Amino acid sequence: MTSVLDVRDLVKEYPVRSGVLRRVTGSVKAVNGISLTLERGRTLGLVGETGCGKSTVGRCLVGLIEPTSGSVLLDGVDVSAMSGRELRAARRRIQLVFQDPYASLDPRQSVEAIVSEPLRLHGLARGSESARAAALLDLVGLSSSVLQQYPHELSGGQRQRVGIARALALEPEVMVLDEPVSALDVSVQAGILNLLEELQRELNLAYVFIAHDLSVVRHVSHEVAVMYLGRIVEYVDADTLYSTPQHPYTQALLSAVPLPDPRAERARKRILLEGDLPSPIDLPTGCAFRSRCWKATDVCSSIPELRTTDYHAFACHNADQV
Amino acid sequence: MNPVLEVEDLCVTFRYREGDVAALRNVSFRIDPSESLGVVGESGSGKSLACSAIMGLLPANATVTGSVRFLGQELLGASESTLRDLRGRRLAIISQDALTALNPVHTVGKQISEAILVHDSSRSRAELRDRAIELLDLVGIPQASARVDNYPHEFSGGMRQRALIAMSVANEPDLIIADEPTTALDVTVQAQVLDVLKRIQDRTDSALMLITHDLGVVAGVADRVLVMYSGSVVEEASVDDLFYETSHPYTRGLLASLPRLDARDRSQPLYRIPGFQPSPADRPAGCAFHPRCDVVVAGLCDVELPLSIVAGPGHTARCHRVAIDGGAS
Amino acid sequence: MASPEPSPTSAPASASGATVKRPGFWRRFSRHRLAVLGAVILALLAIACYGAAFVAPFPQDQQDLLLGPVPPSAEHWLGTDELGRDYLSEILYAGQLSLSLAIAVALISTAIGVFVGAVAGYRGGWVDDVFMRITDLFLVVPAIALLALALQGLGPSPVSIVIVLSLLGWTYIARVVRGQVVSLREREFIDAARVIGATHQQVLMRHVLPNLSGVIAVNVALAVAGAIIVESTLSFLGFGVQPPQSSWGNMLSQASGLIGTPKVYLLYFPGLFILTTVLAVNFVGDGMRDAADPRSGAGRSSRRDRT
Repeated sequence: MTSVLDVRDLVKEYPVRSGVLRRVTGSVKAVNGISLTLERGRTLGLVGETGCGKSTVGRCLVGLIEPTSGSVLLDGVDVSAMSGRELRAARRRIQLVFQDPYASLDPRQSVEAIVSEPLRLHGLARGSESARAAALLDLVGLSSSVLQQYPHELSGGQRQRVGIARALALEPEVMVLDEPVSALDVSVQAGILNLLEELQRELNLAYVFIAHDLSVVRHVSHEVAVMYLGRIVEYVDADTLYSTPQHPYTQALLSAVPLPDPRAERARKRILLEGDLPSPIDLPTGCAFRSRCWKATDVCSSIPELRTTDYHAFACHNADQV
Repeated sequence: MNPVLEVEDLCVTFRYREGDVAALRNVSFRIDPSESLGVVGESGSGKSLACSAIMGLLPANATVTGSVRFLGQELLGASESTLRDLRGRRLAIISQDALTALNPVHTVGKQISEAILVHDSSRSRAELRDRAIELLDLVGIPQASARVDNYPHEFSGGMRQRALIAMSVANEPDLIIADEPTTALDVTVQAQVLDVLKRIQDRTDSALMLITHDLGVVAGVADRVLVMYSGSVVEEASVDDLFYETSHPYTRGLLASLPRLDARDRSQPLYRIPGFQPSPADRPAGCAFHPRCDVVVAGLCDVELPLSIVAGPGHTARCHRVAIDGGAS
Repeated sequence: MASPEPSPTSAPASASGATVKRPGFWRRFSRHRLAVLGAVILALLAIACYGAAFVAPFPQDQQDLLLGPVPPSAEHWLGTDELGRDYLSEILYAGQLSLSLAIAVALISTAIGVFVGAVAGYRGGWVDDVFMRITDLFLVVPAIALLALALQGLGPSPVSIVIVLSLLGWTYIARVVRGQVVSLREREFIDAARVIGATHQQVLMRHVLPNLSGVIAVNVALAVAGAIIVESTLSFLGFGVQPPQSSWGNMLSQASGLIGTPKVYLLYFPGLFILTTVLAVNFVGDGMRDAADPRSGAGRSSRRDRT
């Protein structure tokens, strides 16, 4: 059975121009060879910090950014090379929910216009767009009175629900969620996360959940992939990642997350990383994490490949298991 | 022991054409020397407003009543020169956006030196530079003697925040007010910055008032915690009491709705407090939280504002239910 | 289905904590007293000029050579001109042409400018460069001189005036629109429209242009004012509307030598109409500019609206 989403060796490179003549002097690989698979009804958490490339991956998946190389297969069909009408049709199967619930809604459109726009664009539900919009709102827990309102009249949580309803309009199989709750307060966040889980169960949706908040990712994901400077450094099911992380960066990441538990916090020994993220234009040779890793040795001058042992993939020469 | 900061019945009201809005209502708390107080709340709770009120940085249409005493001296209504003398010397402020707090056209070293110079003009240029290097080193900036001549844009976000901390503590303040200092930072960088803050605090023996929405940060940093909701303090307790002997229904709801890194059973949906926090102009009568409360007492909570009830030693909650269940007023 | 999400009873809190319903465009406009005044004056002028057949006290071009020029009196409120025609009536009829030219020029030049600016801003790259260099070229040229030359070449009919003025007037709005589109292009709702399957044209028409409506409306208003002045200038210089057609500009021209004489009212009155119209249009433009900006008026969503 083919996975609903299969990404192979995705690369996105940006040229770097400098000098008076704006010549291309180098390049930044925002995404540097990402491969992942996703099954229906499952959630893959994609985590990493600023500059790791996770948002770029998300945008490549939905076609907002054209990858430099690699392929994105939706149910076996490669969408990364598509354009025009083919791409538009393919878009129906994979949709994106944005981070900022306000910026992702057109302030000039009513909620009904926003949610029914996908239908109108693709000629679906002709004649009954309004009814379908109301049904979509019901699906995300909003009453139909919201239909006539405008984004600025809604709360952040409501706006995010509208964004989710819009994404569901085309009945996609895969939803890419780019930091869907980071801009929301804690108590609102819980509601959205519960909604997403419910929708996944009811509609058998596959989620790519991009986030930097590891506690949130823990709650929603079945599998997790950790990214650092454009590469996946660890990729395994969520329980294993959180209990026995192998890659030093994952370990540092997990140890840095503050726990709402004073005793646990006091008992913890935090791993504090040295130095800063290296500039992506000027990466160190070998393992990109080398400059900050406490386990770095000479062997780290060669780039570690992502190796899988027992369904647990990680890219480190000096990991515990090795 | 005389508190470093004593806030009593602080109220902030905004005047609008359409009417007055009471944004902050009767906020009272104290911070003792060397103590870390965490102020927690969601957006719209008033936590940043309280901070602005203490620092004297409210807009013109705001009316402030009550008392804010810093080292015994009343800040509300104090002259601008008094406030200026205190700010940067005995009262340090660290804000969220380090990039805009630093002047992009001066080197970091110069700005730290200036922070010292403003309050102590006796030092020479060389002395100031040395002190700046010392401070940058203290906050963990590598190669401090070289980086002291860098401009803010040459620093990464986390380093800028640490440089700002260095600037703030240059004069060994009695109180550091940090308003969401790590909210915009990555989690590993946040860990570095919080670690620096703690070390600095230990070094200078400063008290710390840390304003944040992140309960995890509070659990790791604070000695005592204030929880704010819709312009009032709803719970005040030691950090352990707040997390393990939670008293106020809002705090309980908040803790229950957090997804946990160390969660055992992930199949349960997260608890969600129904409804939403009212804005100051839309507050219901009585307790501001009552429409969302699972232990609401009809006829009481929707009518009368609850007083601050003692729920335990050093632990108060603004809740009628706590009073009924045995707390003392 | 999912647990229902309650709706706040009014707009979200502003940065200072108050909740105020954000007023609509017309309500904000109506707060601007000068703008309302301007709008009223323009409305009256439009009615008076276009309805001159009903409003004007005398028919158009009714000459009374025996009477000759007469200063304002009870019978002729603004006096009469050299040919004994009631000046008020002549001004009103001339206003039809002046106003029509101005509105036509405003609409056409705005249409051109919006198209150029939107395409340049949205496409970016070499298209942007080319379009903007063309715009710069048009800006550099000394307008009045070029207009005069063109009108000499094309013949000074109202149609050619409209064409020529429009071709030179679009550059300002093009730059403004381009700037706005460049910043709009970065907004997430544009990306969102692409993700749900909108083509570039659809994005431009359904999302970009509606969000420019405030800027466009303001520009149309200001373009009208500008067009009146340019047309009046041209006609005054003799390149614009030619007699026997009357526009305010050429009425000024015909009275140009009369300062210091008792017939100076023949100069002042058309000038007064031009002045009033331009001021009124400017006030309306100010009002529209303020009204289009949702940040004016009470309350604005706080920067990080997390509730």
